[in-house]
Amino acid sequence: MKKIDYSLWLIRMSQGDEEAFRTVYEVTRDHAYRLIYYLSPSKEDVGDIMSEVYIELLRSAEKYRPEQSFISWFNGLIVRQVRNWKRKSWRHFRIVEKVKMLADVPFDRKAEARLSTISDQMELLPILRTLPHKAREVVVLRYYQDCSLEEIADMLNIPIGTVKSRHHHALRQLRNRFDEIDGGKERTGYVY
Amino acid sequence: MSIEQKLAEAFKCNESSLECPPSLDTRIMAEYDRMAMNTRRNSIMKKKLSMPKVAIIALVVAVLCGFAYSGTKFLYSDSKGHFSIRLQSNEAFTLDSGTLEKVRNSIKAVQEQLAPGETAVVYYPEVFSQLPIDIPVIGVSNLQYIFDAQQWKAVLEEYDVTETVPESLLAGAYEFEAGAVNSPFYPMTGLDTMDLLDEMKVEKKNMNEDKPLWRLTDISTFPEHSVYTSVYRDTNGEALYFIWQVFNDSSMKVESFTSPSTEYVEFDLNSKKVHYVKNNESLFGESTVLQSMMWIEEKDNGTIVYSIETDSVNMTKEKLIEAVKSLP
Repeated sequence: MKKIDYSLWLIRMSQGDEEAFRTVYEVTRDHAYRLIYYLSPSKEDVGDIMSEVYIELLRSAEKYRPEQSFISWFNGLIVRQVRNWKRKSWRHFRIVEKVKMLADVPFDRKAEARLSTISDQMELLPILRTLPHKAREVVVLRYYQDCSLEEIADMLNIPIGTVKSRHHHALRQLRNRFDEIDGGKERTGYVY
Repeated sequence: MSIEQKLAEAFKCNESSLECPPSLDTRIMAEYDRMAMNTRRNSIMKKKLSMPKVAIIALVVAVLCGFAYSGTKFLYSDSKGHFSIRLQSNEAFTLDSGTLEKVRNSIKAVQEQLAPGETAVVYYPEVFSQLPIDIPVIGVSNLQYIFDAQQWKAVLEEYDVTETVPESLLAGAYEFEAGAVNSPFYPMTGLDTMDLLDEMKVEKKNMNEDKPLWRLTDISTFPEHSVYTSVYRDTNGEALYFIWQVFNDSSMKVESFTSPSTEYVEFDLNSKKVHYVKNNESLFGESTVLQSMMWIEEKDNGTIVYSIETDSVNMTKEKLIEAVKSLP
């Protein structure tokens, strides 16, 4: 993500400054999209979760403290919104509302699907999606965001022991599944 | 190459091909415009009416069809952190003894058909149509009890619950017996509740029998596993249930109704505001009498609603008070 003085832009954003929202959005959108893509239970939900993330960013902008790392704070917000997405009781109703509201706005699902296909050429990442959500969170934050296990524990508000346990089990599962696929290719003579 | 290196490499290679599509930009900005408009409208309203701002991600336990029921008596309300509750009584929520027994028997019959850990949504319009509720279903659960204390603690840790499970209550008089996810008295149901209700309504139309319909529900789709029950029992077989409802990121507002025969008292115990409720028409449990002591606490990472409950007819209010006071 490009480096900007987030605290000033977030203050302006919380006061209703549209330019501030646009600026923060443009700088963070690709990062948010990728992180949500890896964390979300389903690729089809990425757009909806992204929308929820920026609504929450708008609501909680005034709570950002300048001494915090913006990336960590923003990542925590994204992680919580992905979790909320799984839990919200009224999400079906919101989707219906949004579809009605955005009926005039073209939403290019085909472009999204094309991008998904390209990204799934890497075999390990589809296997990642088979992990339980809590395990996937740890793997994505550790190997995509390069967070230490302590940082992950802090972000997810769980004991470091729990992070280590999830990390260990997740890698074991990934290793086993990847070996099964790799072994299968050798047996069937798969050639790249 | 180790799996760790493969993962880091896979993410790195994938990054350039994964970009936010422009159509999403349009959608997000449209959402921003909508919110900005609402904020402007609300700030004008706020100045005029001084309306308190309430963020609701709500579950309504029982929704009145219209609010103007005469004879409604306010019992209590409480609100802290992510949880708020209001309990009122109204004659309309009284079940006669015949109906009460019918419903309790139906619930038991459904429970016997559920495997441990399963929860069902039960539709019984012949009975529920008598009550002024919008959503005529009830959750019924066959809890999967874990009888080993260490295993129960490990399960709680898996769900990121950091609360300490007491080894006993009332200075050892009630020993830990088992733990389970969900509540034996107010089972949570899943997000699929409304879809299941629609299915059962269609099936009911083709039936001529006066019996409940039920469907299995997936509770993992709702504030998942946010209710935990630890059971304690004395040598006479009487049980106390120590129940935690945990709210981290979600919020809940409960509007609850009961019959006028329900007793309520507020206590101040260990500097906590504790709500004592005695419901004489309980649908769940070993008896029709359900007593509970409930309080709410805000924690660093959320809100927990604690309750000590019992379906034992011999349990006294005073003993429940002692049970709350004896907690660490």
